[in-house]
Amino acid sequence: MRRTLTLVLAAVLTAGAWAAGPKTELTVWDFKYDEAAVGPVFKALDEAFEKANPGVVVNHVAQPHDKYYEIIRSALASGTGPDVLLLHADQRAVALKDTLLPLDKAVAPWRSEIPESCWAATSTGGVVYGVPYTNQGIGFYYNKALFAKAGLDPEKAPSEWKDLLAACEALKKAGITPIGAGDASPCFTVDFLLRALVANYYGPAVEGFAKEGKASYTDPQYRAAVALVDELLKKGYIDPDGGSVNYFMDAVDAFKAGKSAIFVGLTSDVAHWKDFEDALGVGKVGYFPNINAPGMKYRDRQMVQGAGIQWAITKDSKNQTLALKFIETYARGEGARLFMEKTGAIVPNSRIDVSALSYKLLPGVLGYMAKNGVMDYSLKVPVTVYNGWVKAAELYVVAKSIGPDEFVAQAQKGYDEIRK
Amino acid sequence: MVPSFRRREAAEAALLLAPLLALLFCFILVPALSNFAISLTEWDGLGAPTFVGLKNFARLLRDESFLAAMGNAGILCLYVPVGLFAPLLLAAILREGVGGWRVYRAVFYLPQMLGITILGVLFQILLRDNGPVNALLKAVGLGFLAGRWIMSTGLAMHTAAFLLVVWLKIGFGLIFFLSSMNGINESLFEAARIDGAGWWRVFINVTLPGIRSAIEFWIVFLFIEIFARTFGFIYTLTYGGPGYSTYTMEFGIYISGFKNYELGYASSWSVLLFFLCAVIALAQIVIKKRGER
Repeated sequence: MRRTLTLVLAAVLTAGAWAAGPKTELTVWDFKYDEAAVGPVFKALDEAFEKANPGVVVNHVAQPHDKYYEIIRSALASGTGPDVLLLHADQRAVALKDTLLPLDKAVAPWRSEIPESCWAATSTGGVVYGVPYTNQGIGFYYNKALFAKAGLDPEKAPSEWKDLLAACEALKKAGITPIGAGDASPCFTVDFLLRALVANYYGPAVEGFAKEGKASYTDPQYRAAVALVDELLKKGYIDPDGGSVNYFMDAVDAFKAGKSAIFVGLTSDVAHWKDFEDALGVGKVGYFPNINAPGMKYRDRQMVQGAGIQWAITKDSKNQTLALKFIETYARGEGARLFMEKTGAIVPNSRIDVSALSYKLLPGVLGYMAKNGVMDYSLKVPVTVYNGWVKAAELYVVAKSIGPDEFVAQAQKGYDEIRK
Repeated sequence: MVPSFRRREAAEAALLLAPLLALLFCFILVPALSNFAISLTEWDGLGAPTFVGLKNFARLLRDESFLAAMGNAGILCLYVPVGLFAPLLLAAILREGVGGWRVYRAVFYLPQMLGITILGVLFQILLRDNGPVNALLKAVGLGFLAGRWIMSTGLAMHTAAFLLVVWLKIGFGLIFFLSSMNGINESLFEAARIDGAGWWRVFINVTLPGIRSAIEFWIVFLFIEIFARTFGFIYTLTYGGPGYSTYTMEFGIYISGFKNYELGYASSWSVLLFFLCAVIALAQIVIKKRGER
């Protein structure tokens, strides 16, 4: 009797497995899957993808953000990487290009949906290695209620340098921290502020930054941008306690809690329009892309990175066609719209209808990004040079042991050294 | 008969040692030797390395972060005497049977029970410019003592060194020296007291010679900690900053290898650290042998 039962059970299980058919597993790694706003969207998109592709199982793995690239490099070196990777669109991704699948032919049928400036950010040597998933930038957000409390016109964003100084002084006198800061290493507030100001000084010429082995930290224009930052630091307009505060997410949370009036934030991913309007109220936050100071060649330039994050496929993937379909689910159509609506990320796909999103800041931010964009100068330098820049910035901003001249000189020296 | 027994015994010993030797070969010897080879290359960890000879070592000697790391190792070494005598003195005092000594022992041992990463994060919060330590000092009217403990280039390494070499080790040192002192024959203490020796003379002439080998071990232990076990604490406390003011050799290896993706260059740091540790170990062996004579 027992033997018969065992045989029946084995037959049922075998039949079940046969009916289900062989499963293809698509492994996806990213660093955003465990974020409260992002995780549910990605889960929903994975389910939609599985439904549209019977027999496919998505193994979506949330990797830790701070060790992400160490993990990826170890896995790729040992041939145990995933099929699909979420990457930043910076030098860390460029360094992986030899392990990624060139995508030019694969994306050709729908390439026109995404602006070429975004494709440029995910390309190296003219070859596309990733599909842009967000369009990142840096800009200035301000709390309208705190502006009103300090006697300033909340509907008038500071535009000229003197306006910003006057606004900061009024805010300071009213006991309000003028510019919130998170400058614990790697000094993101000062870093982001400089990236924005540099866009106004250089405009499109920023493309030449670090060209032919020469960084331009000691250029008069870069030095002038540092001088502006220096004035804000010396006058105490940038939170003097910022050196003790982490930008992500302590300084961001402080701005959302109304503890500072102006914040140098991002346009996508985190610390953005949705984040701030959700916290402070729709219509209660203002935005300006840059501040216009005497001597700047350009006005109101919006620093952009072309892409904040991108999807890529590994060369070793056994499921490359499926991987491309997966990326399309995320970066086009309903998937892209859902990601933008739920997370506040700015998806570069121009076919997305954003009119249904009721955030007052969004049209302005999108407008500046579309018309006034200038690429991020810091993406032009190798990662070693950027890490050296951070060390110089720590001495200048946190320890206050060097002045602005030594800061730019040290940043340049770090770059010159690796060229030897 | 005897040679055959010895042969069998040797074969059994080799068989028993084989798994451990294989592990040591695979995970210690091969990586260590590979490290020497990689230090002569330019390699980002992917693809094939490019041979560059001694270029990485030449760069090291010009590298501000490497020179800072060497200087910081010197500062850490300066705290070794304090890291030795603080637990020694405390152990000698508690050995006298001070009231409530078990409580003191537990309190001093507490830091040892918390992970080094937890302590690094904790002190990173406590010692910020606007952190609780400075706030407390100001609140009790001692604002003049408030300092930029981990945020000034001059003070940060000394703060880290004191915490790493003295404060973090004091509990373990206390227990270690207490147990060593219990091994000294009690009659030696009694004889010294009968001869009229005071506490300090007993400490110098009886206690210290009685635990000489324990002291030698402790010094070796502190040096190993300084050169090879600071990473977790520095990573969480200061991340090597501000600037390079708390950079250590281990931290430099990590940044070069895993943040700058320069594995060849990171290996050249490792090679120098290897030789530095070898020199220290050798010096200690020589001193110990001279003492034994």
